[in-house]
Amino acid sequence: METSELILPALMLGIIGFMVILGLFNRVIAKLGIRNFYRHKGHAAISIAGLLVGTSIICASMVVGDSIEYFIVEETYDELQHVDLVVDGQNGALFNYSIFTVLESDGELAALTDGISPLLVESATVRHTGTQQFEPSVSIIGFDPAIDSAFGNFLLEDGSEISGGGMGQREAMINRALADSLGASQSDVLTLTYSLGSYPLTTTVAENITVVRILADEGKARYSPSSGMAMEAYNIFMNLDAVQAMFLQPGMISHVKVSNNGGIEDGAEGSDVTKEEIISATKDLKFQGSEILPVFMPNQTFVQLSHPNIEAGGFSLQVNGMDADPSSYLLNTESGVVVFFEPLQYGGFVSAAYTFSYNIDVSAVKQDGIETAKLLNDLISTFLTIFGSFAIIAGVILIINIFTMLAEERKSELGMARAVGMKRRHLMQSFLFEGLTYGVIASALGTLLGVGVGVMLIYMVNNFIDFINVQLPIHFQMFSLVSAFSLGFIITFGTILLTSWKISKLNIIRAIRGIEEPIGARKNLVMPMLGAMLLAAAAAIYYQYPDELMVKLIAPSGIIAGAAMLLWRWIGNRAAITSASLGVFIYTYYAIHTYFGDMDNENMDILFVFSGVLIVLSIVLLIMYNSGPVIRAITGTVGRVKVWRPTVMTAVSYPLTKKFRTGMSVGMFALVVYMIVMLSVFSNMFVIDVDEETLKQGGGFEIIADVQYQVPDLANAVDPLTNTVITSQALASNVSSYTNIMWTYSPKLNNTDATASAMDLGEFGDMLGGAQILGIDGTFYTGSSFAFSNTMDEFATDQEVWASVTAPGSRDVVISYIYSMLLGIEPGSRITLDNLLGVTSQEFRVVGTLDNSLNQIMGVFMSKENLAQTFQFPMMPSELNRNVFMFNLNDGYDAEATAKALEKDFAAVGMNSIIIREVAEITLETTSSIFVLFELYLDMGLVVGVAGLGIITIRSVVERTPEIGILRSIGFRRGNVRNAFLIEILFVATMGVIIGVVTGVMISYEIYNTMVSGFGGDIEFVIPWFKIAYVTAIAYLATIICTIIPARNASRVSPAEALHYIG
Amino acid sequence: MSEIMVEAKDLVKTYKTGQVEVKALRGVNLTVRKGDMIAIMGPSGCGKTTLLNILSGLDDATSGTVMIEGQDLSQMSDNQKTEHRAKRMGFIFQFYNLLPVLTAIENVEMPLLVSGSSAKEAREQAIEIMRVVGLEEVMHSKPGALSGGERQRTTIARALISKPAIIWGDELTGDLDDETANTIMDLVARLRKETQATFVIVTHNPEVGKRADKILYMRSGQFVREEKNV
Repeated sequence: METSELILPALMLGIIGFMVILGLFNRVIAKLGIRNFYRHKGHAAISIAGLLVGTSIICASMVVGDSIEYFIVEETYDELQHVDLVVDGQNGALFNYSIFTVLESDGELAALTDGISPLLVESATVRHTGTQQFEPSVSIIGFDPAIDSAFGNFLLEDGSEISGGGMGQREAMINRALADSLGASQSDVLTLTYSLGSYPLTTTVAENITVVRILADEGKARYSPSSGMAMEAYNIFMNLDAVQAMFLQPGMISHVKVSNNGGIEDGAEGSDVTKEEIISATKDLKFQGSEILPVFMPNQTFVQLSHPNIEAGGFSLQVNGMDADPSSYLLNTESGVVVFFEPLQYGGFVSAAYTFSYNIDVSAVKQDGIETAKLLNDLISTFLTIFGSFAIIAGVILIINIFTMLAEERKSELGMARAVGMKRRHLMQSFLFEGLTYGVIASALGTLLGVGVGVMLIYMVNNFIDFINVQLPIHFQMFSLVSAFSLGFIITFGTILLTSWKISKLNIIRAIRGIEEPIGARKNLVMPMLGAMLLAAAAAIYYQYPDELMVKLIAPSGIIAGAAMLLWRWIGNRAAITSASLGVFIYTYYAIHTYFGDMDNENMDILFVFSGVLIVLSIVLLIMYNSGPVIRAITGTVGRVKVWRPTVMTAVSYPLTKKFRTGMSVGMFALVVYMIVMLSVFSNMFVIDVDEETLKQGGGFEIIADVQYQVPDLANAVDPLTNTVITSQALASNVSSYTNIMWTYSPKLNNTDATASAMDLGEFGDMLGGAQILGIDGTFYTGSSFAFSNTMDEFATDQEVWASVTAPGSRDVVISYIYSMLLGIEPGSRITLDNLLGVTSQEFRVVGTLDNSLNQIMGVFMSKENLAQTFQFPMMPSELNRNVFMFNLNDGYDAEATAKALEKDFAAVGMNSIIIREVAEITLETTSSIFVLFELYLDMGLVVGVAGLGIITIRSVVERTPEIGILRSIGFRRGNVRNAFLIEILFVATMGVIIGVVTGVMISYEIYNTMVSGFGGDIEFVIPWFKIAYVTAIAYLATIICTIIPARNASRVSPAEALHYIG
Repeated sequence: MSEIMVEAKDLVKTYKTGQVEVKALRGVNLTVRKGDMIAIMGPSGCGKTTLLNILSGLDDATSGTVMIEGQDLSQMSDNQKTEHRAKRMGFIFQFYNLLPVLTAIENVEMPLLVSGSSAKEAREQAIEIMRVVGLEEVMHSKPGALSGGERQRTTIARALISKPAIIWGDELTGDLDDETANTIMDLVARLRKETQATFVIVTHNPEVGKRADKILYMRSGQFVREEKNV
C-alpha cells in the first residue's frame, strides 16, 4: 500500500474526528442536527438513497477492478507455481549448461532461492501415429526430474503427483489439452517432426516418442517458458538429455527456472534482489568457441559464427587451414559476422577460435504477471472511473439538490431558529451534523450497494457476455471498500458543506414568512468578490503554466466565469450566466478541437471528464436561462388543447422559475446521457460488421497459413522427411486461388526522412525497431482488396501501387499502417532495412501505407526479387526464412474444414493456419465484450439519473405540498396534479436527453476527428441513432416508473391538509 | 326567503394522532342562504378551519352531511367535488396561497383554465378582474414581488374570476395590517354587492366579523353563540 492511498481514509477520519469534537463543544447544535436527520424517517431514507449513489459507483468500479486483478494474479500463480524468474538467451538463443551450474553453485543465490532448474525448450510438429491427428507447433520441454522437483510435482488427473523421473530417452509426458487434441492416451506413440541446422543445410527429422503419462492441466503441466502464460498450452515433457540429443544440442539449454525462497504467492517479493544476483553472477562469464564453417556459395564474402558477442582479443581465423591476414577481413564482434574483402573459395572452409559471452535475459515472470494484473486493474478502474465520473458528478448534483430541497422545506423553521438567536455558523453546523449523519450512513450503505452492483456486473459478464472467454471470480480487497467509503463520504460531506454555507445565508424574515427571494436583488458584493478572486487565480495559473494542457483547457473557463461573476451585480443574472456559459462552452469546444490530439498527455482522463462536464453544464445553464420564450411557445402550442393547458402551464412554470435547481436536475440527467451517447458512438465505431472486418483483415482471402520451412512452391512442396512431393486434395479441390509470400525479418527499419515525426514510444519503440519483410508477387493483389490508408498521388489505383512494388527492378515498397504511425513514415518516404547480418540495405521508396485493420499480415511488402537479393543469405536460421500462404476457397467449401485439411496435408512442413473470419469474430467479440462491460457499468449511471429524478420528484411533492392544496382547491383534479408532476419531470428528462445527446454527438465527433480518425483505416463516424433511441426510451420509461408513484402520491394529498402543511 | 346555499347537519370530524383521538367538530349544524355573508369566529383550535374545509369539500367529515346548492357532498366523487369547486366556489386564504412560480395574472386565470375556458377568454377575464381589484399595474409580477395587500387582492381576484356562487375565506386579513385589512374588506364588500356571491369567512378579527350578516361563535368543535349584525 502506498502512502498516497492513505490520504482519503485519513481525511475521512479527520473530518469525522473534527465533527465529533465540535459536537462535544456544541451539544445542542449537534443534537439539533442529528435529530433533524431522523425526524422524518421516510424522507431521510429517500435522501440517503440519493446520497449513496456516488459511493456505490466508486465502490462497484473498485470491485470490478479488484476481481480482474485477482483473476490475473491467480492465473499467474496457478500457471507459474513456484517459478519466480526465468533466465533465457536473447532472441531465443540457447546457452551453455554451465551457466546453470554457475547459478546453482552461487552461494548468495542459494541463500535467496529454493529451486533452480535448467530446461531446453524446443518446438516441433506432433502427429499421433494412430489417430493421425496432429498439432503443428508444440513445446518440447526437456527437464531434469531430480533438479526440477524443487518446483513441485506434476499432477495427474486422479489427484496423485509424480516427479517425472524414470522416463526413458524416447518417453514423454503430455498435458491433457494436447492429449485431447491428438486423441492420445497413455502408451500411444507420437511422431515429432522438426528441423535441424541452418539454411540452406537444414534437415528435417522425425522421432517417435511414447506417452507414459497424461498430466492434468494444472500447475507445472500448463507452463512453458517459451510461450509464457497461455490459456491453452500444448506441452510435451521429456528428459533434458533426451531433448538435447534429439535436437543435437548437447550441453545446451534454453532456460533456467528460478524459485525464490517462500511459497507460490510470497516468493515473487524477492525477485528484484534475485534478478540482480543472477545478472551479477553471469555477466562476466566467458566461453571458448571454435568451429569450422563450409563455404557454400560462389563469390561468398562472409561467414556467420555460431555465437555473437565475440571478444576481439584472442580471436583467430583460418581459411582453408591457413591463418587469415587480419587485414583481409572484418569481424563484427556484436553479431559474429566475418566479412572478407575478397570472395572465399567456393567449397572451401573457414575455421575460427574465439572467446564469447552469452546475452542473458532475466525476467521476473511472476512479479511481471502480478504487475500486469495491477496495471490492468488500474486501467479498468480508470476507464470505469472516467465513465463513472459523469454519474458520480450527477450524484453530487443530486446531493446538492436534495440538501437545497431540505433547506427549502425547513426554511421557516430555520428563519425562526435565526430569529431566536442562532448564528449563521450554528445553522451551518447543525446542517453539517445532519450531513455527517447522512454522509456516514449513505457512504456505508453505498459501499455495500457498490459491492452488490460490482458482484452483479461480474455475474452478468460471466453469464450473459462471453467476456474474452474467461469466468471472472468475485473478489474485492477490504482496503478498496475503505477507499470507496472514504471517497464517497468526502464527496457527500464536501457537497453538504458548500450547500450548508449557502443555506446559512437565508434572510430571517423572508424565511419565516415563506416569502420568495426577491428577483433581481443584486446588492451584495460576495459574488463580484468571488468572481474577482476566480478571475485572478485562473489568470495567474494560466500565466504561470501556459503550456500545461490541463491549464489550457480549464483556466480560460475560470477567467470567463470569473469575469461574468465580477460583472453580475451590474449586468444581472441572466446576462451574467448567459455570457459565462456561452463563453465556457465555446472555449471548451475550441480546446477539445485544438488540444485533444495530444495523446501523450498523462492527464487525458481528467481532461476528458472536465471537458465533458464543462460542455454539458455550460450548455444546460445557457439553455435554462434563455429558453423561456421558446418553452412558452411550445407550452402555448401544447396548451391549445384546453384540457392540458393548465396542467402543462403549471408543470413547466416551476422549472422555468427555479432555473438553477432545474438546471442541476437537467445537468444531472444530461451528464449521464452524454456519457452513454459517447460510449455508444465509440463502441459503434469499433464494433463493426464481421463480414466487413473479415474482408478488411484478409483483403478477400479466407485462410492464412504459415509453414516452418521454405516452401517456394506449395503445389510441389516436398516432404522433408520422405523427400516426396506432398499431394493435397484440399489444395486441389477446395482452394480457388492462393498466394505464396516469402517471409523474413529485419532487425532494424530506418526512416531516412529526417523530418518525419515519429511517435515517442520509449522502451516499446526499441522493441518495435525491426520489421517483418514480405516478398509478394502478382498473386497477392490480383483479385484481392487490401485497403490502403494512403498512397502516393502518382498512382491512380491501388492495383497500380502494387504493380509498382512487384515490377522488375523496383525499389518500391508498401508498409503496414503500424510502421507509418510509429515511425512517421508517409508515402514518398525513403526507408532502409538491416538484414539479419546487420547489413543495411539501399533505400526503398514507400509508395503506400496499408489500412490499420489489416493486422493478420503486417510488415514491409516488397517484390520477392528484392527480398531474395537483400535479405536471404547462407546459414540463415530456417525459422526466419519461411513462407506464408493466403487462400481463397471455391464456393461451398467450409473454411474451418479446409484449414484443418490443409494443415493435415502439409503437416510435414509444419503448416499452421488461421481462419480470418474466426479472428475477426474473436476481435469483435473481445472489443464488444469490453464495451458491453463499460456499458453495463454506465447503465448504473442511467439508474442514478433516473433514480435521481424519482427522488427529486418525491422531495418536490413534499416541498410543494401546500401548492398541491392550492391547485386542488381551485379545481385541479387528482389526475391534473399527477400529470403536472409527470410532465414537469419529463420536461426535465427531455431537456437532459436533448442536451446529453446533442453534446455527446458533438464532442464524440470532435474526439473522432482529433484522435480516432488519425488511426488510419476507414473507421467511420456513425451515430448509432437506434441505440441512442433505445437507451433514451428505456430512460424515459424508467423515469416514468420512478416518478409515477410520487406523482400519484402528490395527487392523493388531502387538499385540506396540504393547505396547512408544515414540512 | 332566499334559497339555501349550504346546509350542514350533525357534522363530526375526528382526527387520530397515534393512539389519541381529537374531536375537531362535535355535531355542527349550519345553514347559509344565498347572498349571505357568514363569519365564523372562535379561539384557535376550536375547529373553524376544519369546518370550512369540510363545507368546501376540501376535507371529508367523519359523519354528518353537507349539502351545497342542494347536492350532497358525500355522494360526490373526488372529481365531481373538484369540478364543483372549480366552477361554483372561490377560496381566499390567510397566507394567500398563490402559486409562486406563476405570475399574478396566471394565478388568477388558472381556475378558468381548469374549468375548460379558452386561453384567450381566461386571459381577458383575468385582466378584467385584475382591473377590478386594482392590480393591473403588477399583474405580470410573480407573488414574490408583490406586497401582502397585493397578494391578497390577487387571491380575491382568483377566487372571484369563475363567478362562484360561494366564496370561502380563511383568515383572509390575518396576515395584513389594519389599514390593508380594511381596504381588503371594503373590496370584499363591494364585490359581494356586485356579484351577489355567498361568503363564509373564518376569522379572528372582530372588525371582519362586523362586516358579516351573521357571526357564529365556535368553541370546542361546536357553535356556542350566534350574533346578527344589523
